[in-house]
Amino acid sequence: MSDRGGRPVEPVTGEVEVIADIDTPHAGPVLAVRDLEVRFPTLDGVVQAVRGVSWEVDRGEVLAIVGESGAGKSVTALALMGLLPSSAEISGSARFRNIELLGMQPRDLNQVRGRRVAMVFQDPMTSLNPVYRVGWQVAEAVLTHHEVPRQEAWERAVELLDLVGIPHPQQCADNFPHELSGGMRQRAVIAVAMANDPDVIIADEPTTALDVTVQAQILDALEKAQRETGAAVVLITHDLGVVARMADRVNVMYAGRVVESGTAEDIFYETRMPYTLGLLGSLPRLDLERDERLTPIRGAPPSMVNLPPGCPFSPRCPLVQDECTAEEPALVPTETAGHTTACIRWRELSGAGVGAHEVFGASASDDASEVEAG
Amino acid sequence: MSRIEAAPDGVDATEASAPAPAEEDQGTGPGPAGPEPVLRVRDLVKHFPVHGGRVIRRTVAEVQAVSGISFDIYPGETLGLVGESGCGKSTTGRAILQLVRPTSGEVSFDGTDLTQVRGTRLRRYRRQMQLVFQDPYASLDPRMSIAEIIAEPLRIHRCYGGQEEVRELMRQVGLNPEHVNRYPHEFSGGQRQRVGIARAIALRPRLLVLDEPVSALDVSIQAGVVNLLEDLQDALGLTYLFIAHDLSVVRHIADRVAVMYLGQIVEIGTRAELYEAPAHPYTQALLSAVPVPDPRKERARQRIVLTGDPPSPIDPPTACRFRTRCWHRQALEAQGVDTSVCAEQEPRLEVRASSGVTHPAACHFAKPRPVV
Repeated sequence: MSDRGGRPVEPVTGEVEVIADIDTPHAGPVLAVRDLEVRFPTLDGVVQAVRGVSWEVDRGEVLAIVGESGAGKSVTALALMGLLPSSAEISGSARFRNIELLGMQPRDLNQVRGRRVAMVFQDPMTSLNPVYRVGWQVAEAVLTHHEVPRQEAWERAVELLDLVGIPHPQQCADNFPHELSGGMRQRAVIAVAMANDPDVIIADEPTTALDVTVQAQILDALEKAQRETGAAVVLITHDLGVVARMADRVNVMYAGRVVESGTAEDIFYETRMPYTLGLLGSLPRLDLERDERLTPIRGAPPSMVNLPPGCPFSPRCPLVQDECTAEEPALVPTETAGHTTACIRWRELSGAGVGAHEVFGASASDDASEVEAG
Repeated sequence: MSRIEAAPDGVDATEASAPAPAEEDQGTGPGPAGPEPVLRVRDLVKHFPVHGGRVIRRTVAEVQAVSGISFDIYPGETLGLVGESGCGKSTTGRAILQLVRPTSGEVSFDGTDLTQVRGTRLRRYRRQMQLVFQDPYASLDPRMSIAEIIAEPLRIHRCYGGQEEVRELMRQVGLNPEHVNRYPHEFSGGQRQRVGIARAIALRPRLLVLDEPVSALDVSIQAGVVNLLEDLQDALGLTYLFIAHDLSVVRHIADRVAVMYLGQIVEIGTRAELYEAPAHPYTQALLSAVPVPDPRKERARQRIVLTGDPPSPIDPPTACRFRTRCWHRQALEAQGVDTSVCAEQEPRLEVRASSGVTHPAACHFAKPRPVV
């Protein structure tokens, strides 16, 4: 199948010493991020995109990272894949099994990236190369990490395309990306991510650009990819519906930090952080008849160059008091094991009758004017 | 405040009182029995030519963006128009405002067919119908101040009464009037969308076409804009055509909902009818695909997953346009039911009371099925 075209690929041969034990069984989390910080120096000042984020994920688990634009969700993922521009200042630790990913040489990183930790990006048109056939791009992922004949890699590619639910995989493999619809392209990207049986799949807003019926298909494909490979999935999204469907555990991010972390049930039913509560209260619901107004969170997310003192959510928080602005609260455990929150007043959110409407209703003026502009 | 006196009826009395054609309503909306619809759309068609040819440019095909849709909007109500990308919902909005001229069909505003009106007379109608765009970044001129942006429609219609008027409009949409001389880049997405809304209500229109007005906003900001739209509707007696792909927002804001697929309305009904007893297989699939933010409920739901992608609007399937992806038809065929009618006869958008459907749905085998 050399007529399929494509540039020659050199299989990675000879494992480098650092990751010699990559195939030995490993206990504990497959991916662990500790105190990750990412800063971007700009003309306006230093953008503190990620400010001390820690989490870990086990094999077979779905961890959702949820938050609004600019919360630092994607930057976290790009940092641990080594995909940020060189101007970014990164500190902390990100370990795949027992291998430190931050600061790794690209040559070594390439043995992990794509093979052990795969990534699915938001926009399938920019993550596929427009001048190569789809089948070749999937086969390339196989060839990069395994010494197999091209014919075999191509057959594996067709098999993978079939697995992610593409109707005519043979024909699709022969197509160029522009000949496929957005949903088909995203499926091809998931096939690339599955190609090497990875331990972790990081999906960054995998369905945001897609229609709901296609989104349902893609989430099915992602669930299938996880079942087939047994991988851990890190799902980055702003859609709480997708989180409710997919996630085992959830990290809620705000202004570059994790502000609440717990199981999906903890986050949705035992919310202990006003921001999370505000997000849930501002969502219009498909499954509930309208009976009351939505409860918006007043104001807008803070500038990442010039953060407010103390808790970054304090300017928008209905429960704010003086202690909140004195010091940024740490992530502390709540009454449930494994459920943490970065709010000093979390106890007041426990118990019945403390919904978003009660907490935010009083203060949530619809007045956007008090927001700092620019 | 001369504007307010001038605005409500800038139309010749003879025009406004012209009797509406007394033709049988094809069940396109229950609506209150009394009032006349503000907007009446009948058999609206918009085709866009596709050009080709090597040397001489010629039309080789037509994109059938909107293929004969009919509905009414009554005073003070919100009609939600939902569907996936490419189904023709935005084109419908633009064709109503005559921003694209319909290929055929009738768009009556207060009984006057706008497709027959041109020039200055059309402009007089336009001040009663305004549009709010999706992208608050692209829809505001970065070189104009907020004051200029909001005053522009007033200036065009020669009823600008000074900056105090602009400040009042800013107050009305929840913006700080002191920011009147700022520029769009100094505002966040939610605030920009409020500027777009202030501009749209400046002329005291009666109908607002809202084309995905909150889709580009984060949820915590989106809620404030949705509430604002509801408040303005109550305060100013506005009528909304709310175009969106987000079925949750539409359930929250709309009184009645129309679902579009490939240029046609496949189902139309009140919010309760549509969300609690959807009858068209496409509506059912669409609703079942939206994940709800409640893990226990979401994980217990049955999803209807459609296969494939929507067909091209250049060459849509004959008869029922949804039949190529219809899960209901496939299920019926598996049971041995003869479904050849789907490929032979176009299903009419009508009430099929014998199947227990109380609102119009364009399916030969329509049957209510709760999916949310």
